[in-house]
Amino acid sequence: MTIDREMLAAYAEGQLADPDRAVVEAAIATDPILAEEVASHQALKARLQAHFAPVLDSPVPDRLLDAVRENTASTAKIVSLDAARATRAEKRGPLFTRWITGGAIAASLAVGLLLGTQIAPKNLVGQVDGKLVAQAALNTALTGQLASADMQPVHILLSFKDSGGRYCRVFDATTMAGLACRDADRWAIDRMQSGGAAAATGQYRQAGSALSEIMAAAQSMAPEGALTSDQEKAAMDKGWR
Amino acid sequence: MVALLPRLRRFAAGLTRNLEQCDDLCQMTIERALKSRHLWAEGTRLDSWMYRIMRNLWIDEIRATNRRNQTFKEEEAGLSVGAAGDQEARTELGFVDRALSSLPDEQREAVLLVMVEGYGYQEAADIIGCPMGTLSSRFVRGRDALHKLLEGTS
Repeated sequence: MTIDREMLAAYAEGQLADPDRAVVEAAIATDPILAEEVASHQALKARLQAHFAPVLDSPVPDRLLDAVRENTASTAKIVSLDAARATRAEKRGPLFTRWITGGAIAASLAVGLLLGTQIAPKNLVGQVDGKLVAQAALNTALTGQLASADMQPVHILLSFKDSGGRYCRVFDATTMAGLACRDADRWAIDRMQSGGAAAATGQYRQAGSALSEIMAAAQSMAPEGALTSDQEKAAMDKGWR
Repeated sequence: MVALLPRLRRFAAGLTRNLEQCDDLCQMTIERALKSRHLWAEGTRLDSWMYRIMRNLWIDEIRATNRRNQTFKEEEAGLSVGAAGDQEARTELGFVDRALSSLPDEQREAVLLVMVEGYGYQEAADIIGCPMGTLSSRFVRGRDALHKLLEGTS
């Protein structure tokens, strides 16, 4: 079997599986010219990598970091306005801190990037007695999913108790984000921002802006801030009553 | 995404061979990725997805503009990647950048993705949007051309 240049390159790049790999390896062992080819491949690779290493090691310019942050700038502003509360919050446990401090930015960014499943809002929200209520996967997530859960089709960002003592939760379901409060045995949709219709027409919402409005609403509704993960778990176990 | 930025810059530097354009390309890539975030398929690699965005932006927008506006800048631009160093280092930058500049685009991107960015053939082919066999032959032709160009320059 002759070993052509492509096969040898694939071998040098670790792209061959057995039995091809073994065949090439055996050929190299007996043919110094092939061995030399592989060595020069590795030398070129090392040289290219060394050439670009300074770019990898140099600090990322602020304007690129800003470009990542810009899309969540409105969230950041809300957070900084509430700096005083944040200081208090830090004593209250990880979930609360995560909401009030910069974590909210990371959370909204991560949600946008990690959610790929498209869910039609109409399936997640229905009407009962003239009120918008959560149903299907959204209802399930609101009822039984902790904010700290791994990324799901519906992500719960935080939970809190409003001034009337109701439990409320901020959710993100890719095509929409919103805030739902426990109303008897249902989750009433208090606020909702849809990204679905805009996405379909190619007019994308500025990333994070829907969420940041909802986060702002949540902050104004939560006199005691977000629940800690323990408090959230306890509320869930009691059926959000 | 922030954690990916150094690698994205490296790939951008390889494509543009010009530090200023490198960061322009990165910025466009970040903006495009965030705008299109709902198109990213869950469970797939974020880095590959962003590389693909970057590669397409480079092909479609920046490079096209370059071709129209500054046909003669490529060679000069080739010398500007990397921080200022001593004379020897600058010469070395020049050799590699110039060699890369002389490759056809499709060979350059294949070499960069496989040898510098460390992608497997299948991943690199997915980023470029070509069959794996095509990637393999472009890669080998690019590698051989680079090897020839750089022979005796190290």
